[in-house]
Amino acid sequence: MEQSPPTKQLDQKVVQYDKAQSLANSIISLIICSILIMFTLWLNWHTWLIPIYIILLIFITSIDYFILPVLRLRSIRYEVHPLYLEIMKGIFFKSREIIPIERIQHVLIEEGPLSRRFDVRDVKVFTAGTSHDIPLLLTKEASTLHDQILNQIKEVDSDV
Amino acid sequence: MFNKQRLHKLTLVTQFYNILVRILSGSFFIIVLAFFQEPDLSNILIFLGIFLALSLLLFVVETVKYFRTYYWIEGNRLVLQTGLFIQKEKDIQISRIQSIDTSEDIVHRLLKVTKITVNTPGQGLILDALSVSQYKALSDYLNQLKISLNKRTEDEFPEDKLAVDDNSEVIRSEAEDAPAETTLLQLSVGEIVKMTILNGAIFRGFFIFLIGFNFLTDLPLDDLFTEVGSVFISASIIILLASIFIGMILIYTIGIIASIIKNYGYKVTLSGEHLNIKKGLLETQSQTVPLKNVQTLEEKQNWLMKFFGYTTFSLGLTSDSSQKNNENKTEIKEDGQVVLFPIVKSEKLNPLVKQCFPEFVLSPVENVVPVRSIRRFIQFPVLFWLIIAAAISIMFWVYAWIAGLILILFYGFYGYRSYKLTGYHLCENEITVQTPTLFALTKTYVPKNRILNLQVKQNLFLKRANLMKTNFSTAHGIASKEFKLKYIEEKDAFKIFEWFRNGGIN
Repeated sequence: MEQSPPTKQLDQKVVQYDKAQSLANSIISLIICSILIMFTLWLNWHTWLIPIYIILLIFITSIDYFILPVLRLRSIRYEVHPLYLEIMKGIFFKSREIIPIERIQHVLIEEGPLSRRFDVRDVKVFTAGTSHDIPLLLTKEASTLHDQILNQIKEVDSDV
Repeated sequence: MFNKQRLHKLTLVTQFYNILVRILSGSFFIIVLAFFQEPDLSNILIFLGIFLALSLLLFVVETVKYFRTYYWIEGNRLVLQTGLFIQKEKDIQISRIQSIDTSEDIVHRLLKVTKITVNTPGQGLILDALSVSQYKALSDYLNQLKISLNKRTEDEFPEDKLAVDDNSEVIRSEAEDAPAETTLLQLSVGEIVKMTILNGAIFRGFFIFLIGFNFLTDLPLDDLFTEVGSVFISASIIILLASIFIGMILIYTIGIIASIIKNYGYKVTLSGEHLNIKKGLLETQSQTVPLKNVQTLEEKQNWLMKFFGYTTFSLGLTSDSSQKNNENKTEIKEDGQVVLFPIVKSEKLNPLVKQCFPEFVLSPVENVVPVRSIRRFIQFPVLFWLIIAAAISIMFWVYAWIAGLILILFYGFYGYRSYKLTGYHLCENEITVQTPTLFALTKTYVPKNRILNLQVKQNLFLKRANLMKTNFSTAHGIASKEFKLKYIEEKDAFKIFEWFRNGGIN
């Protein structure tokens, strides 16, 4: 899987966005945890479950904040070759994908309110019936990639 | 010439027939239930009343719609305007017309009208119903218009241009004498019967019948056992077996008759760049497939078919890519998989296929799944069903674990089949993929230039075992279809990966 991987890697700066996203997700986990605690007290479940919920919450949040962003940064790679786009993703479930430029129908740059603050964008590539994304790119990288692919699409005249 | 035209007057009759069929099939269960109760005159009258009122209302609606439906030709567009309160206009581009398909059910045939579907990549326009002369006039007009439009001439509509340019694609339509039309396959009634029996679809219906039947016969058997004499018991068992046997024959016969009616006169012809499939006895249908829409070829064979040496051949199609982002998705065709040869002798298949698709190599596969992968096919489904069977056993029905065990056995068998029969073969421009299911084997031939994307996947456990999963998609109908090769050797998966990545993707 690791032999001759795609060349482009993500920028170090996107880790901050990833961490911010983890914090935002942890708020949701916090809400779920408190609902669970409420139910435990209200429905008289075993009270020793409550420290378990809290420990789980802290455990999941710390993994999400400290470990996963760094792993993700290292695991995502991409490359635009004249004939195809290659994307490598995944921390525990690794995958490597090839999309011929000929088959790409259009390219989209996506952003959210949080990612805008950190200057991070997602690039989504669409073919006939499938879509693939390259997440966590800096705005500059995203628009370079977008333009690169678009230029190559224009030179193609195909049936699918 | 083509100003606003109405559909043929007999459309009212065909629509009335449609309404009747719809209402009857909708209220089928109510009627059956009514039979099982005491027939009550007032109830029957109420049902009849509702039935009549509903059909009258729908008929009035259809009549109004008929009078407000028009079709005409404007420049490059064939337009259909219809609607009850709100008039909607639907149009297609004439220069993109690929074919005109027809279909008729009993009423259409009795009245000598037809329902036509004008196909462009991705969208179809349905005109129901037109008389034969209306249809011929329309299709001739469209044909000539299309040729002149594609030549990009600025002339007025060429009423006197009868010469057909060799390069322009003539619209395929029934009424025309097609140049060089070759009949590829024609099924006799006997072959249709063979197809239905070997198909296995009847098996499913039979199993369902059997299960239902078993529940019904539980009770009489209990009563009988309390009766006197073993003679009675053995006789009742014979009666039981006989009735199961008769039930089986009944279901098979009904299935066969239905299949004959649906597929009567099945005929596949190749003319130029199109394949045409005609079939039907009471309701006839003619479907045209442009060869360039074909993405994949698929051969499917179940055990019965393999034993007798037959196979089923179908095509994987797509609609044109530029139409996929079309906002108006109301009448987009969902062709996807179209069966071309429902039953054909295995030896005869290759020559037939080469006639329509000479560029396909159709090579057989090598089976590549190593032994250590067998458990991976089985483990997760088995675990899942084990948990469910255990849960149901504890909570509801104690004997659920038997069903669970049977399911697990099925999965074990499926895992073994996957190990034995999954395979692939790479040619320069084509990949053959073979995947088994519980009762059938599917072989798909995919040209390299039809693959949209290819992916290899591996998790930590697979990495330790040097196994990998690979999948790729092709365009299919309005979406896509995925082909998977699971738990094959890492080097095989990478071989496929490199094959796709290098070697000139075109």
